[in-house]
Amino acid sequence: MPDARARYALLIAGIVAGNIVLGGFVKGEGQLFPFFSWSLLSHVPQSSVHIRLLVHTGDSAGEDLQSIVEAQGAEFPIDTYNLVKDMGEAYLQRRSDFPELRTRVERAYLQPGVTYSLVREERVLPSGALIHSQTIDTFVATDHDR
Amino acid sequence: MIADYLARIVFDVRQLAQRAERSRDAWILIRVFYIFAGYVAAERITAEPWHVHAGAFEPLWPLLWAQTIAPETLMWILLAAAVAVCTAAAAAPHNRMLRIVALVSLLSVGAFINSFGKIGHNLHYWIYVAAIFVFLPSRTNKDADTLTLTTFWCAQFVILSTYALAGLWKVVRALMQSSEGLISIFNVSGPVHILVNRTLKNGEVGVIGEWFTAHPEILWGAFWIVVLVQCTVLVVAYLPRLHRIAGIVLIAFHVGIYLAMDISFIHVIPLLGLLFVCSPLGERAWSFSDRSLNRSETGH
Repeated sequence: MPDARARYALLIAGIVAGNIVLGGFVKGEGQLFPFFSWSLLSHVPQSSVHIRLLVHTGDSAGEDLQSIVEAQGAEFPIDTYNLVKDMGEAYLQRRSDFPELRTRVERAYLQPGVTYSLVREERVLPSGALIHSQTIDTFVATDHDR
Repeated sequence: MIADYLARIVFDVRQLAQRAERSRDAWILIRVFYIFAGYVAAERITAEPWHVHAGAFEPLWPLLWAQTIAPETLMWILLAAAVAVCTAAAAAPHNRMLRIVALVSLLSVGAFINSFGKIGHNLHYWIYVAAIFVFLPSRTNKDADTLTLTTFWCAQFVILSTYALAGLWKVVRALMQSSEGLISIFNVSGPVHILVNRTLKNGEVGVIGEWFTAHPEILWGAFWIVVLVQCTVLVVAYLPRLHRIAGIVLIAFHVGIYLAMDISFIHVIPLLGLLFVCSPLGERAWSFSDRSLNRSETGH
């Protein structure tokens, strides 16, 4: 039985160590499924910063992509939110994965030729009042292999 | 020497009386686990209209073999496989090969729903427990009852460890933020910042979220109760008589998070019920398999 208990100890130590190393410290692109992200709700944001994608039709000021996706039946388009956030952050940080993320967003949600903007909004907490809104850039969706 | 030291981490189930009866109860719970696992997998994989997100599909590693299959088609393949395999594992839980295939199936379903841009955690716990249940002993093992209960305990320990990690990291992160002069969860306004930011992200607020926003002191108190429960809950693994109450507290924790923040972790609730509220290692007030125990409890 002690040998068996040692084997079980190794099993749980392996899963817990995997969660510690691969679940919490590695985020985003590097997050390894199915390790558990234990840093959830640990960071207190000092202000609320979100990146939105506005789709322009004609001369419109733009409709939020999240609303468009929700209207298509998605319960809460967290996937859309995160892809847009990753794309915006990659653009602002001039990361090399920006073209890949742009392709993924356009291929998933935008018809070729559609004009859209990425907008960074900052709100004060806890009131949620908008203190800063900046158009990061405006793009035209290209025809990707769909 | 190292093996002896490591072995001490694992609760020695031999100190429990009535191991044969407890083991029988554990196997019933294991059957129920696979029934629920199949249901949760089916519910999760059909919860979203995947055609809306189809262009964003980039399969995670367990589904690299399926890159050329349309997400809608793949969804039906994985759904059918998960329901069939989990049902088979529930019917014949002693068959290790079925348990392995059930694990692969749950892993595939989890990979699918997380292949569209965001890794969520709804199925993670089910996958961990299915992975640990692969190591359940065969019926012919002379220590079968002891090993069954030890395997069950390992599943309990791993689930509790995730809460402990989340709680401890909240405290570490709070120390880091406050040392930098930033608002942290040590500040009364800290949890409200988290709540409002989440609301702005979701565009939705929990049923009692607005009330909490107006009463930050109460939210702060509730948040710290959660942190303290998370930080200490791992001790429960070594105190089987507390399993049932710990299960109820953790279920209440998830219901509370849902009501406040609209974060639905509802799929973990039946698992907490199976592992802790019905724990076969806990006090034997009742039993699935031992009818005499139930009669004595009810006074018949």
